[in-house]
Amino acid sequence: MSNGSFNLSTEVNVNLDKFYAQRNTRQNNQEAKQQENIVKQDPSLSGVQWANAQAASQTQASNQADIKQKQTSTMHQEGNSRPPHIVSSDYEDAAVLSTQVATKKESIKPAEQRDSNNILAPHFNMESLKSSFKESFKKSKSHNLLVARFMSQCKFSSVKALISLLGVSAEEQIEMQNEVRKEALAEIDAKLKDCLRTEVMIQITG
Amino acid sequence: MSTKKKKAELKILEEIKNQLLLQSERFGRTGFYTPLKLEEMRLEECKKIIGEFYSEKANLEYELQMLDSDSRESIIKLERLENYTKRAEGVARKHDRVIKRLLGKLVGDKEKTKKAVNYIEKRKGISVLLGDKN
Repeated sequence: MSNGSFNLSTEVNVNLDKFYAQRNTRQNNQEAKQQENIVKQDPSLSGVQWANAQAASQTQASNQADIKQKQTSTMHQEGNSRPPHIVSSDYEDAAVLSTQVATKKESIKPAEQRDSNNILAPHFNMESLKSSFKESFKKSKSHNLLVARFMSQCKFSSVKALISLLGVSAEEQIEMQNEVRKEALAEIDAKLKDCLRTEVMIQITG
Repeated sequence: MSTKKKKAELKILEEIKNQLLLQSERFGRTGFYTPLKLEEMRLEECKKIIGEFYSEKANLEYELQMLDSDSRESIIKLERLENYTKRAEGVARKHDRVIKRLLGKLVGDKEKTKKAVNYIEKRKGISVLLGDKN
């Protein structure tokens, strides 16, 4: 029994040695791979470029991890009927290929602007803003120099900036301006006719 | 109406007119309201007023003949209206003359333009040579 036990212990020792040897070889292989990766990188990269490259690789890794997580979650939702699927290294390319391309104008807008519009839009009455835009544009063309300057440089420009921030396009603004211009010119024509009529009446009666 | 009051009113109207013209220029309608255009507008308004006088005169005459209203008052009104229509016609003629003068200025030398018009009219004639077969 004692021989048997001795033999057993020697066998365990032998197995441990093998285990340590295998671990050392693995570690050495990993270190060698890391060194190869470092050598593959362009030596001309500056510090910032290297940092960007690292960040990109990290995001890719995180994306891959997210994909794996999503896949596992969907598998769990299906009722654990299927065995877990191991994601291959090529899956990243598939994720890149399946990115959605925005076709609508609204979706092309930058994310920050859309967010700000969503936040600000409910707090403003767009109709009243548009009417004030029209009014200020009309007054910016006033015959009175002071009124015209104040309206054009202060009020009209601020309302215009606010409207454009809330998502009214430049084309729509030009359309509104043209509409106001037409109305104003018609009004001026009518007033001028009235003025001339009064002038003629004074000539006749006076 | 006294001449002083009339002058003051005309001055105010002139100021309003200038302001309206300035505003129209600021809206991008430059060179639209020329003196000729304004004079034409005046003439048009004058003709409208004359038409209104005539319609009023017709109404008064109908009132006199058919309804037998206070004839004295209507006669006075008719007389006034006739005076006003005469004046209005005089004012219309005056504006017409001004328009002609302005057009004459635009045309420039009348003899030269007449020659040019005659030359253009002559060139419109059909050539006899078209029918020749040589």
